[in-house]
Amino acid sequence: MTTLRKAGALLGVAALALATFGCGGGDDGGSGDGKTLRIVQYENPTSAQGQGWQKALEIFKQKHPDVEVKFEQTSFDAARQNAKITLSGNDVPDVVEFNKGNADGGQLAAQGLLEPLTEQVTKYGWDKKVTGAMSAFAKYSEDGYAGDGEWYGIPNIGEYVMFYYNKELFTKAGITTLPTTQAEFEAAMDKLIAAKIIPISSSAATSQGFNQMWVWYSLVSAQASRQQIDDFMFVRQPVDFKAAPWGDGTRKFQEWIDKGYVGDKLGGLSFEQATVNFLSGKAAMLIWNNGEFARIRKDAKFDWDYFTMPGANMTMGSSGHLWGVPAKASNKELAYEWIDTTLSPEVQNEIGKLGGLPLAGDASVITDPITKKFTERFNELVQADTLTFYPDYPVPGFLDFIQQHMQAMSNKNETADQYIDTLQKFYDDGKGK
Amino acid sequence: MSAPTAPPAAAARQNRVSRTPMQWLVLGLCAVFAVVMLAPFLLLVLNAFKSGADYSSGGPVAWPKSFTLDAFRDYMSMVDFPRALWNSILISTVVAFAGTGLALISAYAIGIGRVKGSAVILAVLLLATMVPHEALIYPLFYGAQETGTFNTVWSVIIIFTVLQAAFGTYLLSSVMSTVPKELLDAAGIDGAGRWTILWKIILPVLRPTLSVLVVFFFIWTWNEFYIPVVLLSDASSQTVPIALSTLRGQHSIDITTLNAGSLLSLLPTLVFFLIFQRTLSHGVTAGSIK
Repeated sequence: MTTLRKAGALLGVAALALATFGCGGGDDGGSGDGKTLRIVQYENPTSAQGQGWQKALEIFKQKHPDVEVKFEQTSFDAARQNAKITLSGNDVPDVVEFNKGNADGGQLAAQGLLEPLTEQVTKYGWDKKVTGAMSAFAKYSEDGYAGDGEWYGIPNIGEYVMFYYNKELFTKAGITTLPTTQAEFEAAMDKLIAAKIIPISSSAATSQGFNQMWVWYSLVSAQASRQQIDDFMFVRQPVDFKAAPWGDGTRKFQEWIDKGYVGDKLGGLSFEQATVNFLSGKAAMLIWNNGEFARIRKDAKFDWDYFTMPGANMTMGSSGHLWGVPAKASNKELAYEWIDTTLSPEVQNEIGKLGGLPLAGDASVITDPITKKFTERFNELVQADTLTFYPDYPVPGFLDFIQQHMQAMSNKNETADQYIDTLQKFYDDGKGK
Repeated sequence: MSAPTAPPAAAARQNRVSRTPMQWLVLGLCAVFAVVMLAPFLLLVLNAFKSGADYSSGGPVAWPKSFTLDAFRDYMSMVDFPRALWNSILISTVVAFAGTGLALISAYAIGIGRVKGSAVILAVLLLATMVPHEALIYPLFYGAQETGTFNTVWSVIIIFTVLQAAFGTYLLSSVMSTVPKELLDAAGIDGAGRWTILWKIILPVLRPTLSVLVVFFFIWTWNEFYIPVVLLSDASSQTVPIALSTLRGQHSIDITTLNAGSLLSLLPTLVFFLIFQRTLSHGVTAGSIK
């Protein structure tokens, strides 16, 4: 009977608590006194960008000793799912990190949940630091399409996709010089197969198995022009997926699957498992972006290096996630200053030294040779304006669609032509304009 | 799981010498089944104590070269775990007891008392537990904001007390309808009022079922993700599953840290289950023999 009495007591406590909080009302969120700055972001605090922002916090607090800064951590998934709900509330943060693309950032901008930043961009000169393709997903039209219109977001860093390779396995297979054209690249992979080594570690699980999608889109990008990518990405001109670069790239992709360049039984693998397969020496190359650069440096037990797709016109890559200021934020002036601090040379160079690919950093201050080369290659791609983003940005629900078909093609249940037909239909139905 | 193994084990104790080949087969199958059931948990433990380099070079299944607590250290430095643990324990405990209490009272009215349209009320309550949380989130969000409970554990406590109690009411009222009418009549003749009948007659009869509800509500609430992640955006009010989710990036996962975090998050529910497993197994079979 005693447990029951305890239960009763607890019930009473709970009821009391409900009553107190029910009557309490609650504060009205930020009061706009310029004394607090609430930042909500989802970068891993140990990543280059995360550490750069710690430095930015120090600088900001020095400049504004009387401001209380709340730097909050959330997750990418949570931020993505909840942005619409939380930004429409009363108690909104002053600065938020959000995901780029029509389905995420575009929707937030179109629904008026984000403050247009165009005026601040000119005032602070952010457009001098964030240029070309790096600014494409920072701007959204009234209907939420990326590419032009007002600025709504400011990225700090960029990313690009590369092939990490195991030098020891390359030597073992008799590859002496790095391939510079697609034909040479294929010849090198033939040598690896002859030596019974899986050339590219890949994955195609519908959840988190992104490697195959990146192989496919890298092959498309290899033959594409800026115009063709922009038409597709920003839904400007109708896209014919049967024509180059889409048709040829997709057929090449099927050829690579059939020849075993990407290994087999990929349907259940995630990118994490693909990375482990590369790091454990089972495959000679890994296609991934800079997200695993630090880990490969730390964990690889063999000599390694990397290159971008040989002989490619264009390369997969994009700007990072964006800073935005919610329309209902109460301390907007401080928010702008915070964004400006993260683009300052001190913070950008700190991110650069840690291998974080800053947009406004100076590669010459980086002392570590690997990180320096890695950053310089990124700067080259940005300057040449040859980055092609990620293929799932244009249409809502595109990621799941592409992943399903990548899995089907990798399992050899679907041919390149079948995929192109459904892709055409999905894109045309989904693009909405 | 323990039910099917019990008869052969009991038989063997009585008659040790003659374990038939069939019984050996069943025993073997049970052992294999137990290993299969435990395998994911064992993998989690194994990888939580590996170093990142060991995991990267050997994969998840390989035996590590050395064991390390680095992953736990990283997890604790990235997440305010004690805070999240306290929030989770507070929310789950209050919801478990308050939800069960509320369910008991409302089920008494529906199952024992006579309420017009009780079937309709039950249907509505059941509907509340069946509607996906995504459909409820906007009203709940604005409700929490208006009452000033947004970003405090109380919003989640109120919501889950009501949601769990809705399910509990449905379950308890059907259990209560099986209480013999003679028992209640006898109590009435002895002069017991409605309140006395609830506390002195119904409660002792339903105790096993109530304990099961408390345990289930605790574990269900502990594992809830969607509603808490929307209502508790502030780090100071986050629960354990939300804290764990902050480890996941878009294009990178730190597997060993994630494993260490998962293990730490799992331990409290495991401890809770071990303490209450006797009540649980009693409660599940309660009422099966009359």
